[in-house]
Amino acid sequence: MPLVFVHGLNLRKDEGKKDAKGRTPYEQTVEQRNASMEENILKPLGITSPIINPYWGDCAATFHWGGHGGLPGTKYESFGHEQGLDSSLLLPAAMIAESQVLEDEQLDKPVLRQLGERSFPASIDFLMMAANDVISPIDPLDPRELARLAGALGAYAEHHQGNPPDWIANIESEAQFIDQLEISLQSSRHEAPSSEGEWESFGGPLENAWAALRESAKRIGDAAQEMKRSKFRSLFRDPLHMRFARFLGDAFIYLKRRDKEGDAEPILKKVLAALDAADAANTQAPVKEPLVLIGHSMGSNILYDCITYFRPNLHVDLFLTVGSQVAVFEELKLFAASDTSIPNDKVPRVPKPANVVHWLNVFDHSDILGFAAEKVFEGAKDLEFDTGNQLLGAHGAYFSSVNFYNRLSRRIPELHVSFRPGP
Amino acid sequence: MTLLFPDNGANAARIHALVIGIGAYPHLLNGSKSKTAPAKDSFGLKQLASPPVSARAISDWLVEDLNNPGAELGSVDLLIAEDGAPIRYVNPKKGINKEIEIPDKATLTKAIKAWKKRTDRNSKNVALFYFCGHGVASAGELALLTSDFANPAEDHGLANAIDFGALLKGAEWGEAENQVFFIDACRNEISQLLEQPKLGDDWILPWNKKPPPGATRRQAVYYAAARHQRAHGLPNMPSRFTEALLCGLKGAGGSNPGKGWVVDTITLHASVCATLRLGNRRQKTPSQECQAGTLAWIELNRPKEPFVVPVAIVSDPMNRMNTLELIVTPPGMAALPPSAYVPDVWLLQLKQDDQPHVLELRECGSMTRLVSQFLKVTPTHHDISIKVP
Repeated sequence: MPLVFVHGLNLRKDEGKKDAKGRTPYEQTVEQRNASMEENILKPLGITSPIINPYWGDCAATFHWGGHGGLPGTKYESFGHEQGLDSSLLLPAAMIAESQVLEDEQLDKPVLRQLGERSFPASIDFLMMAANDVISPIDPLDPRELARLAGALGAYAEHHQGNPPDWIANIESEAQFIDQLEISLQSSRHEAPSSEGEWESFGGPLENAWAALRESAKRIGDAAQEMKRSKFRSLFRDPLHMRFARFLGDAFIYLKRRDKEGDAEPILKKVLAALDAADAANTQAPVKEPLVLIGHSMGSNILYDCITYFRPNLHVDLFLTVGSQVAVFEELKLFAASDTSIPNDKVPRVPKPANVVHWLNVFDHSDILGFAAEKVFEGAKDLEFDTGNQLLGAHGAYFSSVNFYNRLSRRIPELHVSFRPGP
Repeated sequence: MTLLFPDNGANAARIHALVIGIGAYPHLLNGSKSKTAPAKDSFGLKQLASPPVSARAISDWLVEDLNNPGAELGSVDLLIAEDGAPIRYVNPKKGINKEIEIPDKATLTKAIKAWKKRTDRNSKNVALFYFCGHGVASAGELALLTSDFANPAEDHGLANAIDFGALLKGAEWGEAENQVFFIDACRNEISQLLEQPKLGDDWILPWNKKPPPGATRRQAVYYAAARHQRAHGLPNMPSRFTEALLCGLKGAGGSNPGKGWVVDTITLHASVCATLRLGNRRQKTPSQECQAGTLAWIELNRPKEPFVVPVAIVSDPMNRMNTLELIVTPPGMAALPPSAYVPDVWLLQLKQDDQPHVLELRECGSMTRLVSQFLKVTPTHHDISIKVP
């Protein structure tokens, strides 16, 4: 079992609307992320084993007033009709709000065009993030198909880094952006091969991935229209407030219980079980595949605790921390293995854990919850990354980003992670 | 309007066909006007190269092979949208070489009205409507997109389509008692179009909610795809449905109640469904199931013999197939060369015959026969498993 992914704060498995296959948004996200990781991380490393995703959201913070006790709420009446956003528009609306495209006095320009003129790769990321949230009612989306298309779009976007394609100046609707993208990909041969070969379809597009992009563009356009009409900031205050409350709650609960219960702490128990399973599968294999641990946000803090204190002998080939607070936790000496004597004259930084071969720490300058690690940890390698999002949007955007996977798929082979002989 | 086949026979009972094949949609993706006048939203709809070929193949069959003593061919109006101009229909066998019109909304509307006028002349006429091109379903209703669909210069560019349900109702108000519709188009919904209040013109042929006057109209309606599903074709080839349809019309969709082979609408449907299902077994072929709407009995053709019948053959056990060779010997003839092996199934088109064919399985490259059996090839199709010792 070569890749263990530990998710971050504020994730609850049972929330949200199920798709036609009965999958919750969490399950869809895992499926999509697995497909992208297989394509961009496991393939370059030659790893064939499946990905293990321990889920710990059910052991995290519980709010005894339902989380609303501390929210300010509103004391004013609304004079006139006040309609909330359709749930399918929440994500694109939040992304639009953070991108500030509607504040540039260009209300009639399509959102994707405005973003694309600023940064073409960012517009592609924006589109893909919204596409990951699309539920197709008739043809459930194959995440591998979307991952393949994302790869082709990433290559095209990279080609236009700092130099948006000419067609963008003539775009009059979000849908035309997709049309031009499709035409350009076909002609530049960046497009991933269609799963159904040369067959024509006498109706909608054959490829569900393109259909998802179209739906995604439509939602972006609808959300922008809705936001132009409403005082959209008020649409997000309460949800953001709740997210912050959960961020704090999950972290506090974990630290309090870990100090009291040690490795019997429920979140640790789940993550350690996943690591032990991965190690056991690898131990029995004739050739050991590299072990990759990926922690997002709080997941990286939990993994750091595991490999430095609870499983210090677990051999980790690649430790990837993304949008992580590991450096901040260490500054506060919150880890079980934290040594309060560091920094000192002889040891100015905490050494990279001895059982870790490579440590990459990815963060976005716009992500207020993602921090650099190099200044605190000797041997950690920081990778700056621009998701094109702002504030909280950036924190959740890494694993939906085409450019994130593109950069990883190029960076990982440079590490020369190798297979080790088995027993 | 350009009739391929002269509108002869005046008022005698005839088959009057309107055949439409739309491959070029100038405002959609990669269309001839997609740079100068692109659709505000193409909905992912692309240019097609199969519908023009499909429409020509249907026209060829009509002018060359149709044999219906009760209602001979009266007229064929063919409209095609494809790259390049002018668009012509050429049939050397029948000496036809004519420029034909492009089915944009206005032209197609006129053609439909003229077709109805021709079919109205005699109540025993058969009105035959064939459409191959983009179709889009919305709330269960099907819209057939004309070549100028999504023209951005028009306020209602999305209305450049035919509301097929309304066309059926309008046809019921016509005089022809026998009406056959072949719709080779997708029937899947495009989510971005679901919010459109109306797709397609619902008033090309007038109708109202009262029952149509006069005798009952018999309608047979064939859809190339089941509801919510897609229809497919390979570029520059007849589509899957049209290929199956022609195979059925030429005889595989017939029955012989005692006075020779007759293809009627009921047996034809069974044949088209079976042929498509057999084709679904081909690797890398998108699955497609046809579906009938109303299916009244109407005689269509008395096929010329011999005609071909689709036959699917597998070995039992199936895992032996890739080491085996199938040899078919038609009655009174030498063996045919070993059949092309398509993974998991041999798909053949064998001539119908009262005498049996011989089917023989050998190990590849060996002359030793492993097993043989007889097969009397008759409509509508055969799906055979040969037990290998």
